[in-house]
Amino acid sequence: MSKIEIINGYKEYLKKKEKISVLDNINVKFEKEKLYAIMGESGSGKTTLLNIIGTLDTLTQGKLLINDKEIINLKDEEKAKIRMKEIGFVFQNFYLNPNMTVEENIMQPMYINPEYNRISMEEKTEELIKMVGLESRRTHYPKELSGGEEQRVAIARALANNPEIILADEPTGNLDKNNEIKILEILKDLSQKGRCVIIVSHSNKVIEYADKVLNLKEGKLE
Amino acid sequence: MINLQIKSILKNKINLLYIILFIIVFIIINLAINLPEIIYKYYDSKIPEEYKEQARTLYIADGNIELTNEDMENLKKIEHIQDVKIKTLGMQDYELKLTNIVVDDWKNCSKIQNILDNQGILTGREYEDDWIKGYEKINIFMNLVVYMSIIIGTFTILISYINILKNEKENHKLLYILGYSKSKIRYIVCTQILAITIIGFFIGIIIFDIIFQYVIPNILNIELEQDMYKSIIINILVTIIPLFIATGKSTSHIKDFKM
Ligand SMILES: Nc1ncnc2c1ncn2[C@@H]1O[C@H](COP(=O)(O)OP(=O)(O)O)[C@@H](O)[C@H]1O
Ligand SMILES: [Mg+2]
Repeated sequence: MSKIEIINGYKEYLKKKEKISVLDNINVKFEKEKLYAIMGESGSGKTTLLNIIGTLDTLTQGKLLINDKEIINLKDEEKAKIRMKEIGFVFQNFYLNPNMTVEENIMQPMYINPEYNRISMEEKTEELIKMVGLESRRTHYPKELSGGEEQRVAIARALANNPEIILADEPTGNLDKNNEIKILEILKDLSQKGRCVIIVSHSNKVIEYADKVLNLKEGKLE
Repeated sequence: MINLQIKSILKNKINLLYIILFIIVFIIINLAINLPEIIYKYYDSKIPEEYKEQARTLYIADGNIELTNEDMENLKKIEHIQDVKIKTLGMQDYELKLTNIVVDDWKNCSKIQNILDNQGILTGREYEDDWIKGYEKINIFMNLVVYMSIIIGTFTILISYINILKNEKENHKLLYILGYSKSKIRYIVCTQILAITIIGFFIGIIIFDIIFQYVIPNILNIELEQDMYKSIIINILVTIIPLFIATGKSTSHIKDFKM
């Protein structure tokens, strides 16, 4: 079973009544325990592809399967549940809530997961904070952190509900070399522990960590 | 979850300004609701005690009109009319009959005069002074002030709501990406808005109460009574209507949220 599969996937946008094709007959499988790097120039459709895999956008044509289950026809509520349980998102600009502490940011996705209670939520948060090495930053606010630290918080948050898929859109785009390596090592580690990690980037550093490199060019993924 | 979201919105410094704005809006709206009472009590205090009874009495001006008992009973059924009395003034060789209509309050006299006028019964006032005339003039203007204040207050609240939610949009978008359902986000949006409003409302109401119960009575030397029922309804309406419009507007595009 593949974790994620796209079959004959097309994506078109309408711009001033003119169709622009962003994804053109994509066929791809993503497996667990692997780290994928999706490379491509700016505007090539990398974010669009991640949005589609992340159930935030839909294919114009074709199929998206997550755990062999067809996603396209699901209701919004069911898609939300998939995002909550199956997918962790990591963004270029970290996207933390500036008015919440490190702990609170990490906890945010746990509140909608019925598997947690108050105590197990706190235990899990503690575990994640340790994992990303931010023990001394628990009650700090994002503006008190460095970019690298912010991204580690975001990764911890992405792991809050133990998803098997991590989608990272240019996660090191705003970071310096040292922090880039730190973040990539954490993501690599996650893939080795059984997750399916997909990183979109145009930094060549990612290639060193990837099990598989895919290039997105003129709508084709190869 | 909801504690965290409320804490998050209160941590945003801009929202403290909105709380202050809501305090002011609620003071003004509640003063407006009670303005008729303040003005009335003020003018009432200027009518000398010994003329109070006369101030609310009308007399039928046309001597040719003679009311039957049935007519009088019908008149008493009109709202605000308390009593209809026939006063007999004994003159040297004949009796003058005067019909007096007692209204429940002097402020309602002109309304009753209009109603009777339409029925062809011309009336005059037993007692009329500058204060009563002044009250009638200010009355129309006052109603305008009341309505305008409430309408402007409601719009201020609506625009504030829309702005608060605009500032929170990124956070709501994040929640959507993290897997919060549309209905959960809508619930969070409403609770966040209400949290800010309720803080503004309670502080506003306390300040209003001090103004209404102590400051104004002491300055104008009058006693005031609040129309609780009307106040509660208007306060709820000026909050609920903007809430529906603003949350509807801000949650309608949740589905388009993307990375
Ligand atoms: N909502 C949209 N409406 C119209 N065109 C869009 C939309 N989103 C993305 N595009 C277009 O799709 C193409 C791919 O965008 P994107 O996926 O963001 O590229 P990348 O992430 O690789 O830089 C771009 O040409 C962009 O203009
Ligand atoms: Mg992009």
